[in-house]
Amino acid sequence: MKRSMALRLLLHVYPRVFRARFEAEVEAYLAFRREELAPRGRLAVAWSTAGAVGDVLRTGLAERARELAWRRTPLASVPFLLAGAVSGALVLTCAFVVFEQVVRQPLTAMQHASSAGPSVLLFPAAMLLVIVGLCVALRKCRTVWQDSPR
Amino acid sequence: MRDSRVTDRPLPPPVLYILLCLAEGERHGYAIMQDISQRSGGRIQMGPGTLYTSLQRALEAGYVSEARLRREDERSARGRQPYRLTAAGRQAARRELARLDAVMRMARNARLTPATEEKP
Repeated sequence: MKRSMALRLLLHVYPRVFRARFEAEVEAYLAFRREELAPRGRLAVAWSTAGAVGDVLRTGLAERARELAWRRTPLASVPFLLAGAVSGALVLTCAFVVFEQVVRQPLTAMQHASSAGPSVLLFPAAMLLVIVGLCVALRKCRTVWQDSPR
Repeated sequence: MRDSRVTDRPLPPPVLYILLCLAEGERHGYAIMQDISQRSGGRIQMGPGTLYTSLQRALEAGYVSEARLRREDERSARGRQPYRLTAAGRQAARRELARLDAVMRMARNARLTPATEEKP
């Protein structure tokens, strides 16, 4: 892979607006730096490049988070809420399966009695409650994150 | 549009370094980094990410603006956009330095600066 292509790929860690504004300047910066350090040898260039890549990754992710936090429209909450709901449902399903396989079925088999009545309604109700709780907590987290100093 | 979250808070150190550097004249990004590195005796090395995200903050806050390229530089100017300090940037730098000065005074009173620290 060509160096310029790898660099362009790396710069995709930044949001599109930032890239459009500063991509050429970051490329020029790295080219100047390579030229400046070339007389000191390959190791110096490699060390500096590694530092620059780390710096770009760190600040790029911070820019992405900043961009996300600055979108204060109600629609911006949808991915957070969906993510919370899906992960909550997954966790609860896993817990339910484990509970069924490890605790309830062996117990039922031991007692030779089927007691499926109330537990059939209990699980969806508990799941709904936890999902709503997770959504509220995620929304609260997002508000705190937006208002925190950067 | 100015962002009050940027303007009303203490300046992040990289932004302050950039303002101090540009107080001496227009410079492009790489020259800013070199200048800061030289003045700090190599202790402060600003990576490209830190430099350009800080420049973006300074541009958004109106502390820095893009300077016009000279005609003879236009052909080789890709990636060498010069920046200059604005009046708001000068004011912000002064305000931040006054704040740091107050902090230093408090530190001196508490005998926490290297010059006043008691030797064991």
